[in-house]
Amino acid sequence: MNTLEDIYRSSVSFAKGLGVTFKNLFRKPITLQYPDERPVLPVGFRGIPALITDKATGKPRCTACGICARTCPLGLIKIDSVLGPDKKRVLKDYVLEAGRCMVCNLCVEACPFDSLVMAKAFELAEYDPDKLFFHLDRLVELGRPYEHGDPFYREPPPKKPAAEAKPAGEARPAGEARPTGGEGV
Amino acid sequence: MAAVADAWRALVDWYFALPPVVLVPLAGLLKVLAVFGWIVLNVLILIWLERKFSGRMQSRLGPMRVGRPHGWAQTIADTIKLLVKEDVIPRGVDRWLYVIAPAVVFTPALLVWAVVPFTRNWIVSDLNVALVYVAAAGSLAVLGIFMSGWGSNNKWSLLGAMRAAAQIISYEVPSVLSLMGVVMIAGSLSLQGIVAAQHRVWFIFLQPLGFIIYLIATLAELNRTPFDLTEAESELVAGFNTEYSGLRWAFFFLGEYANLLAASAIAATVFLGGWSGPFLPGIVWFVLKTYFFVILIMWIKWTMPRIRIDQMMEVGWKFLIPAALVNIAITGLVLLVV
Repeated sequence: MNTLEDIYRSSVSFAKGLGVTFKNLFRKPITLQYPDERPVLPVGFRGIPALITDKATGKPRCTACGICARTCPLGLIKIDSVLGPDKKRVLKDYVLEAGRCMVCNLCVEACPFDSLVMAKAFELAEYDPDKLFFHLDRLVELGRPYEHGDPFYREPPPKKPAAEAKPAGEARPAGEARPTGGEGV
Repeated sequence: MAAVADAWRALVDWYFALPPVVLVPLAGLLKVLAVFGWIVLNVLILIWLERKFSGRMQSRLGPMRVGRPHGWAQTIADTIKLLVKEDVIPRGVDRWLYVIAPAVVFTPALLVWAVVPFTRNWIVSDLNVALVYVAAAGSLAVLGIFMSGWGSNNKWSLLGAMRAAAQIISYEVPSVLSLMGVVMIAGSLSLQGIVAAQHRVWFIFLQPLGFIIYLIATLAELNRTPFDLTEAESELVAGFNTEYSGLRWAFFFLGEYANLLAASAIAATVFLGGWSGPFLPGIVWFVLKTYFFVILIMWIKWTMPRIRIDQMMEVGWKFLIPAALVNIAITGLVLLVV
């Protein structure tokens, strides 16, 4: 009879549903109890941009060219520099308005000297909004773990000799250090 | 230690030597206080249990911080918070109804416990019509819901209250009818008598259909999913609870859990044999069986989706009542033959 069949079918599905929740009861919860347990941040995690210090010279790699400041869509980067005696720009201060930074990564991509990296810093809340303007010292401090460069961008493969020219139309080799906004699009 | 034992003996002797005109009301008062304490303690535990249990079934943890091991003090903290909230009585409400409704909802949950047998000797009042009393006392809560729905002067509350009233009244009938099979076998309406009649085999095995009907009807009576349309958080704000805050809302909330506990205790007594069982003391069996039903009802709540009001009515009137009547018929036939 139709009703009996309905009853049977619905009871079975009811029991299956109960089974699912019962099994879930014994699975380890996925909750991370935040201040005591921290999440494991993936390699490409985008926190606030930081300045990389060159291991050899001990000074930031930044040459104060201003490309990042021009690239930032919100105009958050202000670079203070003077022309040194040898006509080279010397970086005096680098101010990033971290309070409004949307961690879009454009400054990092634009920098021709690989001197910016998205540090894994995100617990940056302050009581005083003025403290959210990060200056050179803070940015260098944030960039200390990245002395060997940005781990997200792999080293480009060694250049192939010209004799093995690729036919036109083939995709550029993956892993180039300068992704032109094509990654993840 | 001997001094304490002597003092205790002296106290007991003094107590039983009191003149009956004092002893009887005093004994009644003590029983009532004990049961009330039991209910309040268990309701607090139940709320905590629901949050942890539902959390674990949803791959999350539930309360963890208030009372470091697993947030055991969460309910106490919540109750204190509710107590110190401002008592808001909206301007347009029907004052009497609005103020009294929470009490009318909470009290029937307490009334049922007057006949629940905790062990062979621990029962507040062994009425010989206990099941009728349970059905009657349990129905009183509808009045409170209706009062809160109308008195809140709020269309969501009214709608929720109407649905709740319809639901609860509709499922009273199958609930009581399903218990009739048990009464026929036990030959007694008294809960102690029903427990005694299960000394060989529990009624859940003799009355499987009755048990299922009773379970479904109880879920509807308790306004729990799949029948929680009246509180449908996603549809009616909070149904008949909408205008209540602070301690008044706490009464509704505690009343819901007190009802859950009462219904579980009745189900445990009628279908699983109450306090009877080998090896362990009666009270332990009683608690275990009651909590078995509590966990079962919570498990169902967090598994099932919600049923629409018309589906609910249809199931109650067109399916459960005939099924309960069939159950009674079959039970009668079997009793006649066997």
